[in-house]
Amino acid sequence: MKKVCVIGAGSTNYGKAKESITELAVNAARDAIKSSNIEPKEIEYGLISNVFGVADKQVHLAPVIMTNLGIPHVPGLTIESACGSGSIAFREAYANVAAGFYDVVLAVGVEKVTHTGTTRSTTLFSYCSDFFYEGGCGVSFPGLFASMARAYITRYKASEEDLAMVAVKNHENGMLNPKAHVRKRISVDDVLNSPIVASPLKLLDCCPFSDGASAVIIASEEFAKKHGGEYIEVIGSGRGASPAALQNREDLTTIPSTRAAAMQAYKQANLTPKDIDFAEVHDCFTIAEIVDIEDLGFFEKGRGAAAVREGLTQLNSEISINPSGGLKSKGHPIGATGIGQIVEIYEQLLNKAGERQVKDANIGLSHNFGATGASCAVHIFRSV
Amino acid sequence: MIEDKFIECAKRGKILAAKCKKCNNTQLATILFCLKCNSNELEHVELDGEGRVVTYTILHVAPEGYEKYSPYAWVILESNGLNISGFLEGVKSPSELPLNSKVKIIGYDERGIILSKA
Ligand SMILES: CC(C)(COP(=O)(O)OP(=O)(O)OC[C@H]1O[C@@H](n2cnc3c(N)ncnc32)[C@H](O)[C@@H]1OP(=O)(O)O)[C@@H](O)C(=O)NCCC(=O)NCCS
Ligand SMILES: [Zn+2]
Repeated sequence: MKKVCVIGAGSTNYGKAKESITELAVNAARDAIKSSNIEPKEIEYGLISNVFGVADKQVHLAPVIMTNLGIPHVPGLTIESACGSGSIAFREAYANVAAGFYDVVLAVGVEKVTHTGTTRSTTLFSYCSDFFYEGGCGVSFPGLFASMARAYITRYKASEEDLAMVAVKNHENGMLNPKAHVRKRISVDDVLNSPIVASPLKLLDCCPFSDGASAVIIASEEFAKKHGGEYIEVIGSGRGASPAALQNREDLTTIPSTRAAAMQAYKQANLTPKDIDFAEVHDCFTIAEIVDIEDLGFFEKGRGAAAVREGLTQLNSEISINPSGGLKSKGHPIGATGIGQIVEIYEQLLNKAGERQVKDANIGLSHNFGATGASCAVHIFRSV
Repeated sequence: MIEDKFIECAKRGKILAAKCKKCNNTQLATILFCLKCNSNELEHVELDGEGRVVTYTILHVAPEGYEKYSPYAWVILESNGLNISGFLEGVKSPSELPLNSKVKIIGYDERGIILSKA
């Protein structure tokens, strides 16, 4: 396998966008190309991650994006893995470069849903569940994670305040991110007093519906060295899967796909969780971040809530979790999210993250999953 | 079609399960190969649809088609060693549905698998 690097990254703002899905994707790709200093014609392949293109009347996105980047002859492919689409597209880009099929690949994630409104978006997203048993019986994504939250709180004697502290911390980080969707400082009481979406989760336990796009340029180390700009190296890549429906999981307080993907990534990188300086993890709901930091091995099973309570996951504490603000504050344009996390890691490892810079950041981990973790990818990066 | 058959059973308050002829494992009939031994020699069996609440949520922000029922619960229940989920109307607050309380399948309609407190 060849060594693989990320040589450029770009993102639009996350939030409610006026631009079309195509324009969002092309703008992020343009910024990634600019930051890498390559010419578009050096791109050999494109991987696009998107879920609800149909909601903005554009599927078959790759040819449209490539055409608008002035490289209509470059082949591409759209990947859909619900909220995990971005990291899974990145993984396929990684595999293609590692295997030597291509030297330079563009990965772009994009989503545009907010124009459909709350009820329509809630319904569309429910199609990412095992619909016969979940969406088709009235449960939304907030509801699925709420069911996990109830199981976790009961088993580990955690509290709704503990969950709230995840949101407070991520909003705090998001204040420092000019591209974040919800830039608002909040308190534990704000979270506890926000309207119930699906008990025990309240509005401020949830990520928002967001539009946005993120892009990275992935290249072989050979190309990166020859080309000469700044880059970071991918040192671990893992994939995992879990039963699609929550009802078919043995334990509702853990996500098997996270554990499998993380184990592979750590093994490949020859690192342990203690070696990670910061991580972008999938906090679609506050409970998810608590489960994630346990499944990724940063804290023991059942210790995640206490770790958050003790402030161990704040920016520049024991391990900086979601310095970008996470899905909670930065936003969650589902097809873009997994790539957006890697954009953050690129900026952090190159010391370009401004006010939210993690001190002495050398090793970063990205963790992103689809649906309730039915599919997952974990990547580990290092500065060179 | 397996889903049609499953629905027909749910309407009679039953769960359509599949028992593995090789290893005796019982799973939901919508899964076609044995989760334990991977055999496809499975035999349909109807199980009683009564069970206990494993976890649940009460939805206040509902997807399309469910708005007029909200708040309502979506419940995972354990029945005969199997977990299955469904829609439960008329539960407005968590105090009305302690974990481990009894619920049963009573039907199937446009809201999916319908449960009631047992
Ligand atoms: C929680 C939720 C129901 C609220 O949606 P909504 O009612 O459509 O919210 P609106 O868009 O009307 O926003 C109203 C205000 O609240 C803010 N807001 C909306 N969702 C928010 C959230 N999750 N956190 C913080 N603020 C939020 C908006 O920015 C807006 O503020 P403004 O008026 O100052 O612009 C919705 O965000 C949701 O369902 N989120 C989960 C999305 C999801 O399931 N993703 C997949 C994860 S697997
Ligand atoms: Zn068997």
